[in-house]
Amino acid sequence: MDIDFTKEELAFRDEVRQWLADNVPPEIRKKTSYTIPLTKEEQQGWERILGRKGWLASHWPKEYGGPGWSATQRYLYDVERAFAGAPLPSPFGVSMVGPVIMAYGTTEQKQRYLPKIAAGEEFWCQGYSEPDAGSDLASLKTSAQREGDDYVINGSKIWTTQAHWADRMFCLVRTSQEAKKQRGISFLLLDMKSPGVTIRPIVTIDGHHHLNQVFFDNVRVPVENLVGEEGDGWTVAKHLLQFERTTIAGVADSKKAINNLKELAQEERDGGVIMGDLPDVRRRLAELEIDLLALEYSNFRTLDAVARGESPGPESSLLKIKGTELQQALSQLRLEMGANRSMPWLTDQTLAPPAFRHAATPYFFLRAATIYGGSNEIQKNVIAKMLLGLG
Amino acid sequence: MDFSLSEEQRLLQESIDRFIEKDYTFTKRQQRLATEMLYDSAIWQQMAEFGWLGLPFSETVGGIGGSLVDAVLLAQGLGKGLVIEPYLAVLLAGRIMERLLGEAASAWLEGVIEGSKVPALAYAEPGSRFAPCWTATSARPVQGGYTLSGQKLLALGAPVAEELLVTARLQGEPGDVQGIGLFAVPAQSRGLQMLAYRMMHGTPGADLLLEDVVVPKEACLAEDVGRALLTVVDEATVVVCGDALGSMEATFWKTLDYVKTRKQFGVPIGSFQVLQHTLVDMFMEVEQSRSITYMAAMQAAGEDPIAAARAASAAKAYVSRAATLVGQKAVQLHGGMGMTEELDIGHYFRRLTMLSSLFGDRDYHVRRFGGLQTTAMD
Ligand SMILES: Cc1cc2nc3c(=O)[nH]c(=O)nc-3n(C[C@H](O)[C@H](O)[C@H](O)COP(=O)(O)OP(=O)(O)OC[C@H]3O[C@@H](n4cnc5c(N)ncnc54)[C@H](O)[C@@H]3O)c2cc1C
Repeated sequence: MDIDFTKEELAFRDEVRQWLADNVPPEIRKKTSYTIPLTKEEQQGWERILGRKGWLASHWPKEYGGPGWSATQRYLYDVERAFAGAPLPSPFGVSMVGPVIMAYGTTEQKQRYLPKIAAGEEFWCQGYSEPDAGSDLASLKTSAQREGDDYVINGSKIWTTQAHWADRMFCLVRTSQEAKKQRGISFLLLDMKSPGVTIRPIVTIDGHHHLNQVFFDNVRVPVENLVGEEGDGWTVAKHLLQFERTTIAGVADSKKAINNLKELAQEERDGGVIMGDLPDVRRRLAELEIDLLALEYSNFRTLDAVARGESPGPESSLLKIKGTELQQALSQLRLEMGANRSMPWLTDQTLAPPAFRHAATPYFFLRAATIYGGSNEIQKNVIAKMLLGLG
Repeated sequence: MDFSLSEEQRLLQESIDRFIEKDYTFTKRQQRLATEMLYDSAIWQQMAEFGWLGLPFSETVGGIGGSLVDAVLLAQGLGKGLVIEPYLAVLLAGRIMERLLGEAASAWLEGVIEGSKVPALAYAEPGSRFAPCWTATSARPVQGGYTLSGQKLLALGAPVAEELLVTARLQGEPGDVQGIGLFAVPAQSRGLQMLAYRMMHGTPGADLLLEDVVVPKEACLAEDVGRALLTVVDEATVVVCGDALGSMEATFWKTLDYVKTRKQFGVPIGSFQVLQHTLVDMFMEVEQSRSITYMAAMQAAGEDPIAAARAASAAKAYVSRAATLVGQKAVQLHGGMGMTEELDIGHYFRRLTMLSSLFGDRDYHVRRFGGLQTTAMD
């Protein structure tokens, strides 16, 4: 066991730090630091800058347009990225469908989709959940009927993050009614501009538009857009879910959030006392930092296992649960430090400093972190069953 | 010991429930929130006619003479109905006027009780998250009056009030209970900048920037209001517990309903034991909150100001934590649905978040409760 970074790794970190300092646009840095949601143009603008540098698909191998970094380099990069005030790339392309296409895609699919993802040229969205198929994803009903060289899609997906930004969707559809629930599911790629696709916005309790319901009315998708075999969608999706869960711990961004809170606690006073000197605030900050350390080292252990060729198993559920709980606790502390100054709703017209003025948005939105990506209850079921052999 | 409600109290509850069902449905509320209009005079008038705006004031000043228990029951009903009207501003501003001026407050209170004017009390400041007497805003005597300078935060109802009651320091340092004056400041005063908004649960509020606002001598309504301010904020704190209790009850029942009807894996999600236990946790928090809120409402009627203050802090410390837990769990159990602006659950969660902080969060009241065991008030 050894946790020190090599000289080369430290040099790498310095290079990354310098490049980020020179290249993150100030407006993006500001918004990200205060957790103000970015517009599509801002998000995509930044992703293209990263894409040109070759760092957008930071965990991809070189052959597909990634930098080919080691797990340690990726970790160092991610922390630098968070501390430079740069947002995470939209996960649907680089973290989700990209790795799936690498593992299961045809040569044509790889050539067609991967370069555009790595360059930040195309946005993707994830069409899994349906109104009646959330935690019980395998009961999804959106159907894909084979007609000649096309599938014809009918049904609806819901909670689709950034569908209104996306050029393409990867989705799970039912290609067979006969087979056992999971066996009837296939993994399809579709163009969001296809005739028959309509999008209804869903505003969330943070007051912003991230989510959508997407309707399919006889949408035609060429058969060549199938990933894996027909009926193999469930296996493909499971592969993806595991990778989703190693990034979902959000260590780098939580580190940055703690750092921001500590700075804020030094700048702001409460009743004449520096907030960071108040016993309650000091204790809560310390507790969260300790939780973060445990999470960070759990994350290292998982990354190490992945680097040695083990695929992240149910252990990644632990990272998801603990990581999201920490994100929520951090956003809650910020809101409570802001108190009266964080209670005005969606307005710039207040006397509060920006860090407090914008504290409610992440607090409310992050309640979703324990719901999406497989709810924390479902993750605990996974651990109970797969790791503990219960049930 | 008697925890039963009087006939009048039951009638009060029924009248609120009927009002919500008929005139204050969630759909109507959402339509109103979608407009820019901060104030609905028809609704406010209706609340006045029911006698709700006069409820917390004694009959000698033209009020109904309700107790703090009555005020809590009213708040509970309004919380259940997600009512966004600034009734707490009536309580804060009206009660401090009654306390300071006695019968002389009747003329001022008349319009408030009739619903023809909305009052507002601006006391909170950036220098302290919650201590009411952390008043740094200054009142400097000048020829024929005073000039006021400073900042106020989250003044409930201020954007719809014609006149604001503003605390400002005549003597001493922020934190001193002594030396704080109360001033009547017209909303249109020169040098007063009002940053108006809705608070996260929909009620209008404002931050105020006062830069050498000149007011006449008569604008100083009282010269040493610190004690009265503390008492009135304590009363309002107990009433907020009532509002949170009503919001929590509604949130709990709606969530219970939801887990019985929402199906996943072929069964209602309420059949999963882990969710059953979560609902039991929510249920227990609601019942404990009810107990401690009633305790505080009854204690406040006693003679001992320290006992009343301790009771208010105990209730708010408990209820703040309970409100956070109930709100968060309700969203969690609703899954994606709980995250939407379309469903009422998220609006209850926002209200509970707001109330959990308003007039002091859990940490503040735990600390205050602990401090009040041995030392004097505040
Ligand atoms: C902000 C946000 C973004 C999202 N983005 C996307 C996206 O881009 N693409 C996409 O496809 N989906 C997305 N989702 C959907 C998300 O994956 C689902 O919300 C999630 O799977 C839960 O499903 P549900 O909402 O139907 O809740 P339900 O499945 O109805 O669950 C309700 C509650 O019951 C609990 N529960 C359910 N089953 C069990 C069980 N067996 N044991 C114990 N408890 C259980 C859940 O944990 C939850 O608390 C997003 C959701 C949110 C909130």
